[in-house]
Amino acid sequence: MRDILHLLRWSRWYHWRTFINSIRQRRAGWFLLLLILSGAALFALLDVVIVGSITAALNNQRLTSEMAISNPQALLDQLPALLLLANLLLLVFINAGLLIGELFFSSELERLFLAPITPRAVLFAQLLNPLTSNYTALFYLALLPLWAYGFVLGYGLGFMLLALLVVIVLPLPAIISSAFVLLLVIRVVPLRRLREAIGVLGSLMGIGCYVLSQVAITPTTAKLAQGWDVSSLAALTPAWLPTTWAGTGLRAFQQGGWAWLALLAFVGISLAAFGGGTLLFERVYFERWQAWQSSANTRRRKQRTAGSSTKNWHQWGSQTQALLRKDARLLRRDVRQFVQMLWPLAFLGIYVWRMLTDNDMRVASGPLLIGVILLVCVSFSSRLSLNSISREGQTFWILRTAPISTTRLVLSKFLLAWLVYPLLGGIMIALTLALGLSTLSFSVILWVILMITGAGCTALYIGLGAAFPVLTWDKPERQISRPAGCLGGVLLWLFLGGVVVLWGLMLAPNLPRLMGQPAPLHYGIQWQISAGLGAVLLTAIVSWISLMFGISRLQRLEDL
Amino acid sequence: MTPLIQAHTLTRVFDQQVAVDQVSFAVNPGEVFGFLGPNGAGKTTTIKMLIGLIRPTHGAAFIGGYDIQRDPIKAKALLGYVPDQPQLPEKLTAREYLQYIAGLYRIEPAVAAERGEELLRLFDLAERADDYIGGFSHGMRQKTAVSGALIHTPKALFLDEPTVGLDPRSARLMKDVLRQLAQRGAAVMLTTHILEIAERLCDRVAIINRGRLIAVGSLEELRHGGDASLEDIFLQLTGGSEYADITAMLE
Repeated sequence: MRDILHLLRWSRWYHWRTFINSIRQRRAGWFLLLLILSGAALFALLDVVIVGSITAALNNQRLTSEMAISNPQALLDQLPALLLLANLLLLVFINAGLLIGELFFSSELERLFLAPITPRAVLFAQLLNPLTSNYTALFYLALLPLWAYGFVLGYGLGFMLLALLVVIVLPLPAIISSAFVLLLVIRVVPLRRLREAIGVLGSLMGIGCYVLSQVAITPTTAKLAQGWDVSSLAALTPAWLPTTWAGTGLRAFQQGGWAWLALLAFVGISLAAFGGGTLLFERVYFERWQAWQSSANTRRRKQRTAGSSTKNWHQWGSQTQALLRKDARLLRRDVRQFVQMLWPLAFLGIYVWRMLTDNDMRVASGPLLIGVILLVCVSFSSRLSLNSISREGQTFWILRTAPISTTRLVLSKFLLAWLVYPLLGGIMIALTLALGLSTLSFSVILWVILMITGAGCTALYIGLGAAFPVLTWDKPERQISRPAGCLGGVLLWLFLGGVVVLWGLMLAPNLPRLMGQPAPLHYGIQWQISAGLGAVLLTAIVSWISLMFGISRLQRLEDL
Repeated sequence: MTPLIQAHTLTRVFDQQVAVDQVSFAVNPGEVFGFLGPNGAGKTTTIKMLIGLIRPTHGAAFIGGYDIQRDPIKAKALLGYVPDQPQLPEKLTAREYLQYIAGLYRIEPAVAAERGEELLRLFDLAERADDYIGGFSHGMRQKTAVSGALIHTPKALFLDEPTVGLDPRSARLMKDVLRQLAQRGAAVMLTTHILEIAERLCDRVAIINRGRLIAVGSLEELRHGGDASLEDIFLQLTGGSEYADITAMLE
């Protein structure tokens, strides 16, 4: 036990020092810290305001009847239980990802095994390591909302303290559940694959929420118009769930009676589950875990045979080809890289689905088509361009020592990211044509505009990505540096704003005719030509400046 | 004879701290040149300046007569580099990695194919040539990196601690390959902490300490007619002999 506490204490100290040192070493470190603290405070405030508002709204009879919400009291009663259940499920998922890192891939493990500490203590300490992030998450997602709920309903200090107790206990069953889930899954799935899969699942959760929100808009609006019985939400908390005991216990404490003792049952069962589960986990898995650790360095995992043969060599020769082929292979094979493409894919899926089903979309005029297709392509291409150099990571030394100029390197990366526009954009334009949403002449013009504007967007992102690369990332999500991300966001919209206005001026008098409708706007052809040339010129200037900026900064990059 | 590797008063200052100070030396074709020094002496910084990974604050580095800063493409076409901890693309197979490097160095596909297979066989990687590098041990990664550095038959080869993590057989193979490469007219420059390797393999050695070059020459030249080992010379020059006294006292 002493070893476990010792390890936990030093682990916290290590992470704290790492954080403080990283702040101190940065030129704008303290400003960054201030920014983080301000963000955290703002998030806390938003958290309290949102939950407080929902609670107040549900508690307001006039408001709920105006909004045609029936049975608001049922939801109000079950709100703490719902909140706790959602947090528990989230923690089980998050902890599975954290534990796989702590138990198997932590760089600390080797050092810990060399220290005069029993390996069992290392196992327990690693098992408990996710608690810090759990409590940070729960502070925002459970404690503050519960306090806001209690505050709005006028509950006293006892409720606040019991809420704190529940939040302290909640991660314990979550951690042990995650550990057992992990134990079962790694029997059939290789660890590295599992780590990648958890990353993908995390992204899928986000994408799923987005897709659901898009797909569910129409039916939800219709349902709300007819009135909404929110007691169906309360049904998500069946009485047999310990989180329901905690939730109802919290509320019962304020209302008097003995029902609040259910909360103590939750605390008891959570502690028992954690204690018993941890011991069981240690009994079942310690030997295998230790064996895995000792063989980790000499492990020879048979990887999937790529099936390449000598004849593949003939496809090679040019540097650009070599770079393109390598990037394409890595993007396809590295699930963590590929997962970054899922957002644009979801966006694309929604767009196509709407194009096929939404009547408003079908009758939408040209500008909307240009906008949507451009946005889909930009979001796809940005996943390849802003992090184009960063993707090389610590293997960037290969390119730096190879006889390839920085200009050629940046242009090769540009080509890969820009290919999205002719390929994906081409398919989407062909689809609009096939669906009768556009005429042939308009489709051709649209394609040309897309190619030119796409070149500008890609050059802007490639330039910023090359100017501010991150070569020491540990997760692909961290490949985009703050300057590249912030500047990219602002400059892209400024460029798009300017160029879209110019393209719009060029097309406006002709657009209805191209789309087979009468023209409402009339002005001289010279203005249209000027606007078109202006758009091309703006794109050329933005592309040139961006690429030159990226190339010159990348050339100066050193000390790898 | 034009040296293949030449450092001319190379100096590098990091935040007012001089990491490398006025270092000059030359490595001729057919020579294996050992670059020795205690930890933090400036070995890696010097190599990185020579191959163009970092810019010198002062001075210049030449590969095959080309200034690495002014004529980087021509200079880099002649050099090969193997870092001490080679970071390679994890999701490429060893064969694909060599294809990739061959593409970067513009090698004819047929030549690259033949040479790639030859290197894979030479370094015992042929059987696992279609496995991802991510599943390789440190030694196998090292051998893959060396294969990549050799695929374009470099004129100047730089290796940072080339034998670290290699089993005795692979270490021996590495030494033989480096020697063969030098016999074919290449210049090989390596850093190592294993003085025995330097003693056996290198034609000449340079010793750097606190950023300054304190000795350059063949072993005979450094001995000044005596019979001291390279270890003795190294410790004497770098101040490490004090540690020998302390060890003797502890005993």
